[in-house]
Amino acid sequence: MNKNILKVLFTLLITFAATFSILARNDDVGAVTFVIGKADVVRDGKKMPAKPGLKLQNTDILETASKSTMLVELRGGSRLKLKNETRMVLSSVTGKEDAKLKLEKGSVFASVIKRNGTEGFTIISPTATAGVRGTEFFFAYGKKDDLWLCVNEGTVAVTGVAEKQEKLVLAGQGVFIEGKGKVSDPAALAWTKQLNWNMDPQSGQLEDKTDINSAYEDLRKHNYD
Amino acid sequence: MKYLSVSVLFVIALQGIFAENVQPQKEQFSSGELQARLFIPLGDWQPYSELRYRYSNPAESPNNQYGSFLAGGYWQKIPWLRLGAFYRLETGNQHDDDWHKENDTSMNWEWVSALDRFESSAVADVTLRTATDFFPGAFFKTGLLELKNRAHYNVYQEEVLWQIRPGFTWFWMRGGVPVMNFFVQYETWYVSSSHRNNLWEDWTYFGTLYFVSEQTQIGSTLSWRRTFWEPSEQFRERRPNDTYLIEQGSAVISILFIQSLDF
Repeated sequence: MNKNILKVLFTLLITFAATFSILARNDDVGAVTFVIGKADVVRDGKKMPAKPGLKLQNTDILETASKSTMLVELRGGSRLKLKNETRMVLSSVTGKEDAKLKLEKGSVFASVIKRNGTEGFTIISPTATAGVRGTEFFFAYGKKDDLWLCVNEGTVAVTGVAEKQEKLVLAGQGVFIEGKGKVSDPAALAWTKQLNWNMDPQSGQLEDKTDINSAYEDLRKHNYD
Repeated sequence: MKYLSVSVLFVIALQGIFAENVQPQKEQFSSGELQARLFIPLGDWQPYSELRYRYSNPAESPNNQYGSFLAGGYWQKIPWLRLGAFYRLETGNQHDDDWHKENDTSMNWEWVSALDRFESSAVADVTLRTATDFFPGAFFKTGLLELKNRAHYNVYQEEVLWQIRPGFTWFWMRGGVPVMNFFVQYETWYVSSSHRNNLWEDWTYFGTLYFVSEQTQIGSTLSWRRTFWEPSEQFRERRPNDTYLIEQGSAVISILFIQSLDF
């Protein structure tokens, strides 16, 4: 009897260990859910085509080509929509604490699922950091090292490298972060009304065709003479 | 012999006293100017009007005041190309031909007053603009190069004046919105005329505009103006073998008000 119990316990232990071992090796942080055009995932220096269902891991680099869009769902349910010519690094995504993503070029829509009071999202760029708590926002490189951020829902705390104090950007507002890392005061930005926030391929058009250059005042059209 | 010598001396003296002041004397002077500009943006098309008044020091009398009214519109479908057409009404606009002698017996040449004279012109404008963000460096990210070209057909003078003005404007931006701009421009005027050989006028401008709001700007320019006077028609008729070219300089300080009416 004792031997049988020991056998069962040992089997359970092995099974549990094996399962735990598989889970420990399974560091999937999300998956590609939809692609328009051409997109790739770079892992350990190797580039592979991004196709719906492709599992993503920490340190993966997501890249989209011209006229392309990629949808990604992260562990925890947060979603990203990468616009054309975008490059983003999944620096640290666990689903249990703040996810850290590094935007290197291009632009991204993010819809962050808030599971508890602490879980959030941080998007890092060379000149600013945007800390997000359960919200929907758009983060984009403009001309040269400029950055634009606007919020559709929730609140985003933005800190520029040139400043120590963060600025809170509320729904309907946006900020402009100049190349040196100075963050403008949050304000309603007219050009953001053109943004396509849809992240559900079943709901309609996914591509966002807003030109980030429209965020800038076209000095050639300025009236003085 | 003694009487002949005295007579000759008397005639020479008389000529000295009653010599014609054939060539105009033009001194440097200074002017203050007010300009008000109104834009009504309607998409690619914008009606535009401008009022200008300039007062110069009395040395320029009788033509020490100038006024103009310009009205018409710009069309800018292509960002780098702005086309305009306007009607212009001026008063106090002095020309070469305003240098005249009242009658054959008079020894006195003088400038005709243009203060009671109203002159109409039709104006066509082609302006080219490019941002300078293709140059390296943060400074050029908010710069603008412009080449303005205008043709003015002056109905009174029955002649065309060509205005060419290259310039550079730099915008001080904050949060993607202009706070001020600073500009430097050089403007030349030529007259299409069979008898005129040289530049009519040139202006060198240094100026700034402060953006009270996106729709309202106030600013000022400091400019140096040169006018080149050539023989009037009457002078050419009376003295076909003579000529003159007189350069006259003036400093002009202008105050600008610009308003856009956005509907």
